[in-house]
Amino acid sequence: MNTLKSLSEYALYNHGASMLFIFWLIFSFLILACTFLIVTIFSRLSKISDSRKSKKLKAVFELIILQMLEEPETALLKAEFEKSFKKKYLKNRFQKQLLVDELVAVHKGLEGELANSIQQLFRKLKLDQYCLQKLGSSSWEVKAAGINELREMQITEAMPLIAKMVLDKEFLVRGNAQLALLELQNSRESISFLKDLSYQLSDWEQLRLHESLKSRGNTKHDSFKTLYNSDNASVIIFGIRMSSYFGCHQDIAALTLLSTHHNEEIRFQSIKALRKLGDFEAESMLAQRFSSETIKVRIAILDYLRGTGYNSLQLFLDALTSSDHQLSLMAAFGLRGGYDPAFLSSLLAGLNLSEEVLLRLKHAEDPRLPAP
Amino acid sequence: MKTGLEIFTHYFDLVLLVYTIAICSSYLILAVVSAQALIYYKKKNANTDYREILASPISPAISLIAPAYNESLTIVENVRSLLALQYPSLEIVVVNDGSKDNTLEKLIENFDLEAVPYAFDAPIHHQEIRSIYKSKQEIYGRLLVIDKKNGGKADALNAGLNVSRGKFAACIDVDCVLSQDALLKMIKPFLESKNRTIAVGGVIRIANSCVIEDGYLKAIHVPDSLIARFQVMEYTRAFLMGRMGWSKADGLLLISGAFGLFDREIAIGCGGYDHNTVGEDMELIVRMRRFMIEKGEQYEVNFIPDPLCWTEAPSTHKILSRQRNRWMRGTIETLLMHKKMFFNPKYGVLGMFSYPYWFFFEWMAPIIETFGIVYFMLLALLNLPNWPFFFALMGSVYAFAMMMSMAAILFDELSYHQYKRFKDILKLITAAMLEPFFHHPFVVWWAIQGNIDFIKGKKSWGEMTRTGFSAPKK
Repeated sequence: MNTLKSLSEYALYNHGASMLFIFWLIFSFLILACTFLIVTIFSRLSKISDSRKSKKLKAVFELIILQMLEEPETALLKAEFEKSFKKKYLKNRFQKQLLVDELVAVHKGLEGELANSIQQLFRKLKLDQYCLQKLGSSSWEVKAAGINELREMQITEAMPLIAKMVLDKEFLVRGNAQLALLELQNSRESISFLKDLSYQLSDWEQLRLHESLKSRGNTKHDSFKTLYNSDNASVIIFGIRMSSYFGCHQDIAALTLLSTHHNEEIRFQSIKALRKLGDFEAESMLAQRFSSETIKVRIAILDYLRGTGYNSLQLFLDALTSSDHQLSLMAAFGLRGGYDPAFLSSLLAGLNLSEEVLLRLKHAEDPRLPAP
Repeated sequence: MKTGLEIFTHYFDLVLLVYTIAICSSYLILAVVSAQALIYYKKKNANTDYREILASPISPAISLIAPAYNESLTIVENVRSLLALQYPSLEIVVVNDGSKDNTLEKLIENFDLEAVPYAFDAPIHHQEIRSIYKSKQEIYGRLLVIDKKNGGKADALNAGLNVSRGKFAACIDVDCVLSQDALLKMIKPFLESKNRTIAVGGVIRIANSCVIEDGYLKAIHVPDSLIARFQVMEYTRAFLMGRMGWSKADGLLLISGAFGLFDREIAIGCGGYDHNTVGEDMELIVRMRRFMIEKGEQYEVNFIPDPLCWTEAPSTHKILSRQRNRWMRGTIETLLMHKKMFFNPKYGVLGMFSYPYWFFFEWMAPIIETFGIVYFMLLALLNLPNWPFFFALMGSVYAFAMMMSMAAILFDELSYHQYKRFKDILKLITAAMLEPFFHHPFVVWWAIQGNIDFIKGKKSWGEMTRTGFSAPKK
């Protein structure tokens, strides 16, 4: 306490020493301010210079890429060209990265022979080696970028290295490795590695995997039920979503089993998938489970039962008068969409429905208005 | 033997010294943490292809809620701009909050609207909804217009939260200009987080002197008006060097009312916007966070540094004073409503750091500064100050302010490089040099007025006259 007191007194009343300290502070702050300013100006100048350099290089690269696409068997692949080109245009990392970026961007929009030509050029200029080196980098963003580039250029030799990164602690490296493995394996079973994933598969990763499954021409997939056996709930959910999006009718029996899973989200997703796949075999089982389910799953069941005809009428009528708005609205949609209007009108006229419920029925009649 | 005055000055000097060191240190720490977060964000998203969200059925539905009050001059253009936002499953909910002009008529006429029998649940309170409209034309299928009795911005947002259907609700000011990919960028933290993300905020940028045509931002310039330019410096510091850091430290207490994306279920679950405060944006975030902590659920609140929302800043002292006065009252109201969190370890970073920071350095700072000025004037009257020491101290404060502003300009340059012309950077440097003399004293005074008005019980927003973007200067 005494030390603190004497320190404060020293700071406040020993003006000579305090002045010195304050001048030192002013000097430090101003030096830092000037440094920030200089860095700002240098950053701006460097951006301008980089942009000029890349503009010139891009023009050269575009010409080479164009020639490669038009005449893949030409002089471009000869050893002299390779040597002189590398000497002139691939001297440093900046130039190499620029060409990699260009090739990756062009390759993204191509398929078949044209895409192969770009891959050939990529390998011929030893850019695959440059990208492979990135996988050994200590910084995660370099690693992640390297994986992406190798995936895009279909460098299958990278697979063993990339496979080790599927469980990387860094989110982006892990996600890119999953995608790369999926695309580089190029087989029906390529998705099965996800089954053993210990990390939660985020919606973002699921979205990218789905895009990848779509974009690589894999419009037909027989089954995703191998993922249903995972211990990871997020992987099961991904599997269900994919079965639904790709119309995997073969997965219906497994999906029906999942609709009784202990995880609410899995039950919800599997019922949604069954509806999307147009399977109504689970009708009586789901109708029986209805009363013991959570509101979220009940809404999914009502949606599922919308297409099953008159069997579930009482269930819809009960749900219509439920105190839960969403459940009641879904029941209104089910009644409006699944039954003959004249029959429904006479049936509803006999019930003493509240204003709120009548509004929900009207809501369900208007095709512009959304269901829950 | 020391006199009473000497003892007072000794302790008062000590308090001021400790306070100054604490506030400057906190700014420095926040700047360092923000820099780390900014670098990480840039690296992580350098190669992100946001178009993947556009095509995916996994993308969750978003309802964009835009309250409108007497906006007839610009409402049609603003809604058209919102309708053009890129997002796969989007609902635009415009809430006409009992406008006295012809805002609603303009919407009905231009978007071919008709009243529909829309059933909705109302778990949170708001003024009566007169009608809900949808367009007869499929092209405007995303649009939903709510016409309700006037109840203020918070009330209008609550009506929007009740009626909307999206899993997430983006609450915006209808006169803001959003970049086309704003929602794609805002949704990403929700999609990639391990825990449930309950809210995401973005950087608000100042659009004065920018070229805006048909609701689109065409060219970005530093404002011509010095007052708006000072605000550019303030916003850059606050968003890039403040909120970014708080987000990284899991202590973010404020997402700007101009643009924020929320988990609708949680926003409704905790009671929606509070009608009794003028700082409803801050209050909602604090309440949502408390709600999650008290439920014992893991959650996240994120902030992204992308410049996604552009707004017109007040360009006169009169309007700016009303805004700052309101901000101060909103801060005080929110802090008092949630005083239970003050140094309460149950609330973690929020209770131990964020709340005390807001209390001491946002609420108390102008009060302590004013006391300091009055105290110094008294000393000057008694001819007591050590003048060289005084000027040295002032110099150090000025140098510190300059350093922070230069750091903000650097952050902006290294992150999003918004101002392409060298001339713009020079304008910002000039603004940074002048700000401590020509802007800061006013800000302190408006904050003091905010305190006084709070004590008086003033609850009004104060009129915010805008000149609008309709006549861009090229």
